[in-house]
This record gives sequence, structure tokens and C-alpha cells, in this order.
Amino acid sequence: MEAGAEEALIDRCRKQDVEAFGKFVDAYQARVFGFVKRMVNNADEAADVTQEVFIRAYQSFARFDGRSSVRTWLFRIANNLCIDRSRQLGRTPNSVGLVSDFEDGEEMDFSDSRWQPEALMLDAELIQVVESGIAEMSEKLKMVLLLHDREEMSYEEIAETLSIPVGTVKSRLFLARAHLQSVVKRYMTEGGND
Amino acid sequence: MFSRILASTIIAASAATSYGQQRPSLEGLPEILRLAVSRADSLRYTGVRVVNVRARGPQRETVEYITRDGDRIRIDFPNDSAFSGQVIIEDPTERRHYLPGQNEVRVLPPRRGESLLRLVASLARFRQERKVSVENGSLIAGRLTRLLLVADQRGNPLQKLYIDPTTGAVLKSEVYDFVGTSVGSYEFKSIEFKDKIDSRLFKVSRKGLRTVSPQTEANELTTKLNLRQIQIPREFGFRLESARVIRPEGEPILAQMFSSSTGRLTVFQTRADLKSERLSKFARGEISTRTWRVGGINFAVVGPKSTNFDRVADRLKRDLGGQ
Amino acid sequence: MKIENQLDEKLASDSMKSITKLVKDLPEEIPSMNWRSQLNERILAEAKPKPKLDLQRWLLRPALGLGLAAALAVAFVIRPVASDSTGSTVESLMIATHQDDVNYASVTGAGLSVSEMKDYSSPTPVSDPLLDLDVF
Repeated sequence: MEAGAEEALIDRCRKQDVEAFGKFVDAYQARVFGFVKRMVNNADEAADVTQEVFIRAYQSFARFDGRSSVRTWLFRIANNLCIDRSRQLGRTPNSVGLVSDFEDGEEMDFSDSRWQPEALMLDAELIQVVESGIAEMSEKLKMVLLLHDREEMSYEEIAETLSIPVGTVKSRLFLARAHLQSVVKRYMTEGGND
Repeated sequence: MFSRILASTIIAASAATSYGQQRPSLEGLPEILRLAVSRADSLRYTGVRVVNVRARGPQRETVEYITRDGDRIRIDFPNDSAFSGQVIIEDPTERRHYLPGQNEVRVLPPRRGESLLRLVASLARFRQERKVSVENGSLIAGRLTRLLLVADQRGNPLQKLYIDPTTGAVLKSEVYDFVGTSVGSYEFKSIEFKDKIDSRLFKVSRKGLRTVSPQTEANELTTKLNLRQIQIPREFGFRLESARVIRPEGEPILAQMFSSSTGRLTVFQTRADLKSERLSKFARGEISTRTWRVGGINFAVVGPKSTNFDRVADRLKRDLGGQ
Repeated sequence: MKIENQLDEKLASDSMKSITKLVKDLPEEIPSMNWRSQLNERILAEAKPKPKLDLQRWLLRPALGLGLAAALAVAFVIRPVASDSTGSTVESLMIATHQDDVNYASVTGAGLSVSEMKDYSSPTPVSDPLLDLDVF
């Protein structure tokens, strides 16, 4: 959506214009749902939480002052509701990913012909591997990874969304990606057992 | 809320040829599930149910007219249904599917009792990884229900059963895949419990029908595709339910589905390349897989994690000449 | 600052970028029509009283039209995460075939299996009378 068009839409949403809000939902529903589903690891919960996100957004749009982007604002609502839901359900956060699986300086070996990033097709199998890797992570790492790598938010935007320093955003992003690297590497190098 | 099924529920994995012979221990199960299992063989009703399944493509919905008398069931279809004229009659020993359009009757192993028994077996086998809870359900076919929810450890629903607490009838069932997406459901739209059902409804006679069994079909397909005939010895309790060809791009794959009171098992044969490690990766932990190659044919067995699976796979491999 | 520079360099590395690409390329998650229909109802319930014209314009919008259509449907479908139409491996197809069979047996019980639904449906209803007329 063009900047001017979005601004006009937001203005109408502030006035609780239902039609405008419908367009707003059209623009963001898939992204929010995807984020929430990966955060809560449960489709039913995700559907429920995502509805709550948009209901809250509709209710509080009048208070949106435009100092942050509407995307930042919306994902802050989503993030908070995901955390609340996890607390309600008494889920203990995963601890996977707090320590990098790579030694200092170690990186993926590009001489391995199987690891050609441009040739690495995201087929059904690899999708499962990556999704599982994301599901294993702690909420803290997951939210940074999803907001940066999937939503293409800047470090500063993420810092604002999550109320954490930019340095913390970067270190969590590094740990999250390092975890996925090790998961993908394990998948590609593990031998058969038959 | 039940957080775990108690350890005493074990299903005998021994051979059984009918639902009635397998009486699982119900100790430790929620009361509503115990009721459903214990009443399963004595319910008597007529009803209309709608079945929805999603099979990696468009959703399919069918309406079925159900007549049930204890452990016998008859299924008819509405006149405007794509299955109009077909009749399915099942008792504890066999399932007969009458297809007037093809002038044949397909004789198969019974299926009705599977879902509840298998649920109980699954809860026993995966008791550490399952969470079971019971709460008030919705009004189904005009009757108040109790909802039995079976979930994995993350809380993703695996199955939801809406059970009538008065009769033990499962009025609605929803099944989910491992990421919580609904893969199918059935729901009774109307149901009428009876004291008596005319037993003649479960007898169908017609001259000239060709009798087809899954084994007949399997033999035809293995001959056509130049593959091996496969039999699982009766002692393991599995009966062949269907044989069909699935065709990815390239070489066809013959899939033979076997069912028992404790699980379902599929034996695949193909000349396409097959990677054991990829197969087990897709299995994701709750399914066992075994592969081997003999005479240019790749075999794969896929089934529930259990010692019975291992024994069946070992025996098949040996019988087919696998090393 | 030196540590942060090192972190920036690591984050900008090719291997890290390839992880970014994998995450970015994960399939989109689209809520169902039924979900959207429910949300629309809740939003309408939240909405302050509006001139009728605005609500009518809302109701005529294609997205809500889809939602209304969904409200009439018997069941809703959540779009699968990954299609297995082309590019399915033999292995994934085997597991999916087995798992479908298990899942559908849990749903359909004695009723038609999924393969029977495909194999034995006829485009027009069969006129052959019910077989049990012979019995009576």
C-alpha cells in the first residue's frame, strides 16, 4: 500500500470507520496470523489471539498517535497478546537457542556442494525442518527472528516494538539464526539408519 | 482437567478378528470416554450425519443415513448424493459395500470400532505426550454433549469428541493434524435412539454381484505393475483393507493399507528412488518406518510405533528376501 | 562498540542471509473464511452506530462478501501450509498417504474412506433401486 493511501486509511480507522478497518485487516491478517501461529505453536490459539489483536486494534485505533509506524503498533499488540496467552496457559518458555550451537568463528561450510543458498529450495521437507526449528526457540528469540527476517522490520523498529535495546535485538537475532543454521545443517548432513 | 492418562491402560496387541474381542482396559480414562467405549456395542439408533474430509485438495462432504443396531451398522446415501444407491453394511467380522453401478460388492475388514479403540490405544501408548480434558460441549443433533479433547503436549488439539452423556454416542468428531489444522469431521444432524431395529435391514441379497476383495485388487495391481504380492500373516492381526496406486511424477507407488484393532499400517512398493533417512524425517517421531530393497523394488512399511510394527516389518522383510 | 561491529558483520554474513531467506520464504498463513467472518461480526458489534450507508458499503465489500459466504458453508478449511501437488518427494507422499488414511479412518469410521469417495462417486445419482427391496 502506498504511503499516502495508508495514511488516509489510518485516519479513517482512527475514526472507527468499519470499512476502512476492513481494508486494514485485509492488509495485515495473514502476516499477523502467521506471526501469532509461530509464536503460540497452536492453530486454534493463534486464530483466537489474532482475532483479539484486531479487536484491540480497532478499539484503540483512536489512540494511535502515529509516532511509530502502524505496523510496529500492531505487532506490539500481537506480541503482548502472545505473551499473555502463554502465561495464561502456564507454558514454560523453551530454552533452546540461548546458546549458539556454533563455536566462535565457525560458520557454515560453503564448500559443501549441498549448501548452495541460491539452490536451496524450500520444499515441503525443509519447510518442516525450519518450522520445527522456529517452534523450538524461546519466545524472546522467536519474536526477534520473525519480526526482522519475516516482517523486515529494522533493528530500531523491533527495539521499539519489544521495548528492548537495539544491541539486544541484534544478539537475539544472531542466536536465533545460529540455531536455525544448526538445525538445517543437521538435517543436511545426518546419515541414514537403515 | 486431566493432565495425563494413568499407566494402567494397556491394549493387548494380540491378534483379534473382531471389535468385540478387543476389550481394552478403561481404567484411568475420563468417565465420558469410558461410557462411550462401554456403550459402543449396544447403541441403537437411526440418524443423519455429515462427514467432511480434506484430502490435500478440495474439501469433500458427504451426507450419510446411519442405521445402527449395536455392533451392526448400515449406511445409505441420499437420492441426490454422488453415492446414491450404494449401501454399506458392517458387522464385527466384515464390511460389505454394495455398488450397484459397478454391479459388485466389496468385502473388507470392519472399520466402525476403530476410531474409539484406536484412540484408547493411542492414549495408552502415548500417555506421556497426550493431554486429555473434558468440558461442556455444544448442542449436537439437539442433544447436550460433553467435549473430550485430546491434545499434544503443546496443547494442539488432535481430536475432539462430542459425546452424549446420556447414551455414550459420539455425536461429533473432529480430527486434526500435527499443526492443529482440521483434517476432517463428522457431525450428526439428527439422531433418534430406538429400542429395536429391524434386523432385515442388515441383510442384502442380490444375484449376480461380483464379489471383490482388497486382495483381488492387490493381486491385479501387483501383476500389472510387476511388483510383489504381500501378505501379513494372520497372527499379527492386520487385515488388508485397500490397495491402490499413488502416482507422483515418475514411477508409480503401490500402497497397501492394513488395519487392525490397534493401528493401521501401510506397505509401499515402488521402483522409484527411496531414501530411508528422508522417510523417517517425514515420520516426525510418532510413526515408525522401515525400508529395504530387493530385486530392484524399494519397499517401505509405515505404521504406529510399537513392537508389533517391528515384528511385522521384520517378518515382511524376511519373507520378501530382504537382507 | 567493537563487539557490536563484530555482531553486525556476523549478521551480514552470507550464511546468515541465507537463513533470512529461508524464514522469509516460509509459506504464508492465511486465516480461514470462517475466521474472517467471525472477526467481521465482532467488529460490527464493536462499531458505534453509523449512518446506514456506511454499513451497506461495508457489506458490499468483496472481503465481507466472502465472509458471508463462509457463514453459509457447512465447514471451513484452513489452507494447507505446503502443497504437495508438484515437487512432492516419494517419501513425503508415502507418509502423507499413510497419515491421511489414519486420520480419515478416525473420522469416517464405517463410512466411505477418502479413496472410496474419489473412486466410487458418480456424477449423476444411480437410479438402481435400493438392494434391500429384494428382502422385503
